[in-house]
Amino acid sequence: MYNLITNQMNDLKRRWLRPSVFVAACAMMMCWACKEDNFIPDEKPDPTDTTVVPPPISTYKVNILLAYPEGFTAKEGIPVTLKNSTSGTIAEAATIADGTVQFVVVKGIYEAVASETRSDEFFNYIFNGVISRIVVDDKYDEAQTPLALTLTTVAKEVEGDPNPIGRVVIKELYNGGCPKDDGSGSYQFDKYVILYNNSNGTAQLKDLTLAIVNPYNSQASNYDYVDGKLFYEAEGWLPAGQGYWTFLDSASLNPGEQIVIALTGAIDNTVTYSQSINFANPNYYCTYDIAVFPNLSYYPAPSEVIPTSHWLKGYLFGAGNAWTLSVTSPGFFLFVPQGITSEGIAADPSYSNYMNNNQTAANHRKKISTGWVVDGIEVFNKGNANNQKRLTPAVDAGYIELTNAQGYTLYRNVDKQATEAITANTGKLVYNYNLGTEGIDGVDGTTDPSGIDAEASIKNGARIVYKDSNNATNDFHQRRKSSLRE
Amino acid sequence: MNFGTTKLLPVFICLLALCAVHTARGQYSISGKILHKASKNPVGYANIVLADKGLWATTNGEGAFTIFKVPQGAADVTVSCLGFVKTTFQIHVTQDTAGIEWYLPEDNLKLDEVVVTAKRQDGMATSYVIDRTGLEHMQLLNVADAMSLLPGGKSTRSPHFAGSAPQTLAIRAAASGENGNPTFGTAIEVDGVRLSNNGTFDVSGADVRGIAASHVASIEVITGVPSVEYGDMSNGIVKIETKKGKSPWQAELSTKLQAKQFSLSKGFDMGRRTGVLNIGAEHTKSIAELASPFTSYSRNSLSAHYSNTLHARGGQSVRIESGVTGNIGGYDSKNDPDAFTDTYVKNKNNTLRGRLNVNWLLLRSWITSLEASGAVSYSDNLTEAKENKSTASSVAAIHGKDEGYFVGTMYDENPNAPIVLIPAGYWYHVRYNDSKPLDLTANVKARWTRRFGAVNSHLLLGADFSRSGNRGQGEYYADARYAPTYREYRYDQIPFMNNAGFYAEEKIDVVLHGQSGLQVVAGVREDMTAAAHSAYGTVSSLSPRVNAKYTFRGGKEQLVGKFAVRAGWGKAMKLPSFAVLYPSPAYTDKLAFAPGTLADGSIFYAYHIQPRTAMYNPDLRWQYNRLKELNVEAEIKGVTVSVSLFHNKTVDAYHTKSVYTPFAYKLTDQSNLEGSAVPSADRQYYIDRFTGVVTIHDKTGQHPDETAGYKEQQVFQSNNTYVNGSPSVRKGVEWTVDFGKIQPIRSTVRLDGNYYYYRGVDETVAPRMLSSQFMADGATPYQYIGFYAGGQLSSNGSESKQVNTNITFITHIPAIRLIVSLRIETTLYKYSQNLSESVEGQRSFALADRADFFPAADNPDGIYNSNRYVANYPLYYTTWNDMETKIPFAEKLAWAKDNDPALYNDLVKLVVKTTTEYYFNSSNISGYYSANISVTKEIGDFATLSFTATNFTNNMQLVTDRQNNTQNTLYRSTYIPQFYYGLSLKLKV
Repeated sequence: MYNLITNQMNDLKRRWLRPSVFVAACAMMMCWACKEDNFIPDEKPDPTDTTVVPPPISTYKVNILLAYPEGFTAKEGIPVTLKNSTSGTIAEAATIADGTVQFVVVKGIYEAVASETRSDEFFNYIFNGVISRIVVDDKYDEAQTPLALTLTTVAKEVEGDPNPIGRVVIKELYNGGCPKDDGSGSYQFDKYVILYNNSNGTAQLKDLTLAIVNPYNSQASNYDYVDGKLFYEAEGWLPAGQGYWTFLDSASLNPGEQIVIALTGAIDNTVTYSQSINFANPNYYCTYDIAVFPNLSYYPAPSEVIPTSHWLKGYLFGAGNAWTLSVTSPGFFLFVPQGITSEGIAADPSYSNYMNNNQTAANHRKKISTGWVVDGIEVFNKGNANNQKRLTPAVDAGYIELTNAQGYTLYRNVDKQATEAITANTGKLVYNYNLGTEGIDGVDGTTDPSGIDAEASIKNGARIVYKDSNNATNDFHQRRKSSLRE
Repeated sequence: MNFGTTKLLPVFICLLALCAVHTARGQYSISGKILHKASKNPVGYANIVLADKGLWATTNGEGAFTIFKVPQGAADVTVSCLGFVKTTFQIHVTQDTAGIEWYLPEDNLKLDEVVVTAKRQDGMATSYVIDRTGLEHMQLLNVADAMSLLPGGKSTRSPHFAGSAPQTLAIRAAASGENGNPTFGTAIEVDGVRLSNNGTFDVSGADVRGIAASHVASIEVITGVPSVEYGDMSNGIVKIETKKGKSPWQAELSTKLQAKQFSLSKGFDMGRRTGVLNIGAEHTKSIAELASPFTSYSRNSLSAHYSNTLHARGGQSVRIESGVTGNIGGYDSKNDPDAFTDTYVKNKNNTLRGRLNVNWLLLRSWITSLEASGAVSYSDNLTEAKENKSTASSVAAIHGKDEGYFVGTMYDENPNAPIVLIPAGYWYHVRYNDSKPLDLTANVKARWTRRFGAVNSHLLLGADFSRSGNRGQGEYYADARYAPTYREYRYDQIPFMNNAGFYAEEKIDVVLHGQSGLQVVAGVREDMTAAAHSAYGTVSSLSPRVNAKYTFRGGKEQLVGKFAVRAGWGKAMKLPSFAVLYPSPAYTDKLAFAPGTLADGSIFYAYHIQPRTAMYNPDLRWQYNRLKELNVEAEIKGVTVSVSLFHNKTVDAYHTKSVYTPFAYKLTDQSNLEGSAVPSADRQYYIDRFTGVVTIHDKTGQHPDETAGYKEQQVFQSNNTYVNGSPSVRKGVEWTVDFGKIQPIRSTVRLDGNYYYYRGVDETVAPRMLSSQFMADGATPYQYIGFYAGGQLSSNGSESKQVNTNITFITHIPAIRLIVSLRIETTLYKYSQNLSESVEGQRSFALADRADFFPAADNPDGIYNSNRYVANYPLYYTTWNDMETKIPFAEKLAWAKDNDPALYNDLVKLVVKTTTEYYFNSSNISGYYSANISVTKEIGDFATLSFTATNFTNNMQLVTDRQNNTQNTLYRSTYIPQFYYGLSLKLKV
């Protein structure tokens, strides 16, 4: 209603008052000074001309070439997506034999993403690549050499993975919070992550470290882009911001097992917030180190039922009294350092890097080798035109969008083929998954294309194999309900 | 801290008295009537003042007056009355005269000459007056807006005054961003009652939004060196006079886009010899947002002023003036009801002011008049804030004031516990900050005017006494159960501050040949301040002030009709506020015990409370300004030119500074409890108040008490104290040029402007603690404190220069009672520069690369306009273990770089760098302007209609800032006002 009043008043100002005032003032001014050359002759449109000419729409051809690592050749039929960063529209096309693909698009800023999996006798190869900022405007040269979309690969042994920790994946990340019961806003101190052993071998969690990239929000200014690329991609590391959390105990995960790690508020939050999470569970872990991160709003004393051996150790090399896990759009990743401890990295200045070369505590980051990274998830703030990727394609070639503060969670999709191939799953898999956010009122969400309801199937005794292509766009969807609330 | 100057005062007074030699001459009586110029009806209750003779009279209900003992010769007479034009003329007294008729024109647009700008006063100190006609023409809804009419002044940028922050005034200074507390040093008086800000807990000026704008008859701004009768101010005085005297019923309705005002007033003739009572009422409301008109500032004012003059034998008269003004209103952030809510912030600005002034015209050979007055000002500045809160686990609310370890207790168990645990759930808390400043003032002034030869002598002796306190409760909460961490600090238990001022001032008028004259005013003021129960005791301060003026008056035919040159010098001292005198105690609360959270969300936290008593600074001196001014005024062929040069230096400004002291405490958490044999459900925890050791007690008695382990934490606690800041300088030139009336187009043109220069660099050595940071090991809290010259910021001062010029075209057509003014406000030059300077040596240095920590080899000295990142070091640092040893920073950093990498990595955290490479580039904004138009039309004698539009061209020009070569639009910028307009209607019955 008030907007209506404002509009009317603004309209009034625009239509009548401002011109009137201006005319009155001009009249006064003209009393003092009046020059003929100030008058502009009227230019009236021709009333006989009634032709309606629609504005022209220009389209441009964008050619992209998939560039493979040495030793690999291009293939036909590899899907490539081109997303308009502003409108969110996505075009998809497949490569021809030489590895090129062509899109016809209107002006805009685009992002091209490609992902492919190949196997040979010994390894599964996962290829990922992204061109994050293709500006198509009047200056765009259609005839130029196709844009090279460089693919990087991660090879995983078909059998006998030499790095057991590499079998752990982020199954679910819940960081956006939920509505409060009294309608006063959202509660956002109930973040958690679920790690899952997606393999057939046991995974050891000791030294596994939880980190976030600075910039903490995907829509924040990002000074790491040089010529359209993250400069640290070529150097093979990711910038962990502010601090991180490390498993000190020798916890392990058997195949198909998971652990829940409360990232804030490791208590039964449902005591007050009925739509929140109850972390009072002796099997759960939490990030709690009151001497390092003393903010009690983020870190109330964990539930007494959580053993202190389940507390992750905090390290702070930046500034702040709480870990800055974004409620909208974190770049979250897991790593295990090799040849040095996480504590050692925190204390060693040779691992330091400062965002935008600005050597303040707030910009202090640590260089984490991409080779140490176990898994990562790039989260974008839903609907924000300024989102930019922070994780490199070797870790996560895509992203998943989050609408926060609604109790939604980011949940990994099921690898339908691999899950159905497990003989023991026969009759245990539950289909017709309907917990995605696709189609929810007002939310342009996502869902699991496999159609398998992973949580319901697990309760049926099924073993789920999740999709792990190092591309969050393909691997995750936004789920309308936390799996811990089922 | 006694300056040892009090002995000088009696000597000075005696000298002044000796100078004023009594020389008797012929004295005569003049009597007659004041008549309405148009109707020839008598004007009752008009004031007639012979300022240079120290004489005055008031007409009775029939307009008759008599002035006794008027010395022979020329005398300047000023006649004023509400609703009439204040008129000054000269008479020559040679004998007793009766039957005089002086005519007073009614104040309306039929007059040939109407002033709607700030008019320079012909006094000894530079001052400007804006009268009611000008205020109505600009549709004044808020007193702060009137400052825009001063030379080079700019219209208020915001179309509303519904902000949460108070609106304060600063004379010859910027209201914010400058050192020296200029708003605090600017005194504001309403009918002689000071809006004191001494009884408050900040160092800021008084909020002027509570002054009923429609009641204002005139505003005088004294920018120069004021008379010594004005104390407790350092930057100048704004004197507001409200409507007094007889007047018809007047109703005013004003509306602007985001403000509305309605007022009603009437001046009653109470009948024969019973005086005049003027009453007024006003309601004003301003809203912060047009789209959501709920956050607002409102003012509901009621005033009554009584005046009467009693006559006695021998020409003696006693004029009695008294008044009461009340205001109820304030800021209310009440949100749009369409949104979630029930949360708000309300700041009351309720005021009650009363005054009584008795002026006794004695006409004795040894005293001319005696004036005594008293005033009381009481404000209710209660802040009320309602906030929505919730938690999923217990929250500790700490209220204890004693040192030690204390465990949290549920409110129902002990509502007075040092730490109260607020359980999980939803609640609202309503916070109050109750501040009720009370100021009492009394003063007495004696005037003795004599003449010997061509010399007029005016001796002023006076004393004043002020008493400032606060009757508020301070911070408290509606429901103690949900009160968060806070400590009660009752303002009403703080003693009052008393100040006694004594002053003497001699003014000598020497009439030279022809109409020329020399006037000299010299005075001295002694203030003695007593702040009981503070470390300051009694402080005295001496403020001498001198103004001298030479006036030459030529004939009408001469090129220069009048020429005057005036110089002034003086010192003006500002008393401290309670924030300075009685700083509130500080507390450092550290979590000492954090057991696991229970199923219902309960956690029995314990904290270590470390109180720090209020820190007094025994070396603190009272802040003052050294004022210098030179003014030249001339009338050249009908064009009046006035140019003032000023130089004000603020010395010993009140300045807050942090102090850090190291301390250690014990922290016990769940990891220290896990080995306990006592089941958690059976545990009771005790924490030793003095050692911080936690004992686990088995409620069932099955297990013996256990002692929990702990970690020792080494941290710093902070406190604040007031010190005297470094000097800051303001200087400039102000000019006004009033061109004579251009009769064919019935217009006048006025040019006014100023050049303003400010420079302030603070060199107070201030510490910096890096909170929430750790040593290189990632586990030990940061252990060093850096001490920086002028604080921790990249700059420790700034310099700014501005040239503002305004041109006002005024067309006045008396025949149709219309006045139109077009005012173009231009800023021709706007320069500013961040500064980094220190007497200790080079404070900052340019870096070759942003990542560096050492000066660039190629440019070690230049930081200004270098387009480089700049770093500054602390002078020295201390460590948690040894706060006494001051370790030179630069030398240690250079050594550590090659010899101790861990120390180097910790020390570089104390290096402060600019966030941009242009931070020390000078900012130079390209010229810009905005234009206002105002129209006032009288409809008969009963109605006046005014329209005003501010920035009516809605200027969207781009301006360039050379600091970083960016262009910014003026639209909704901080440079010019937003476009807004208003309409007002005044009715007289």
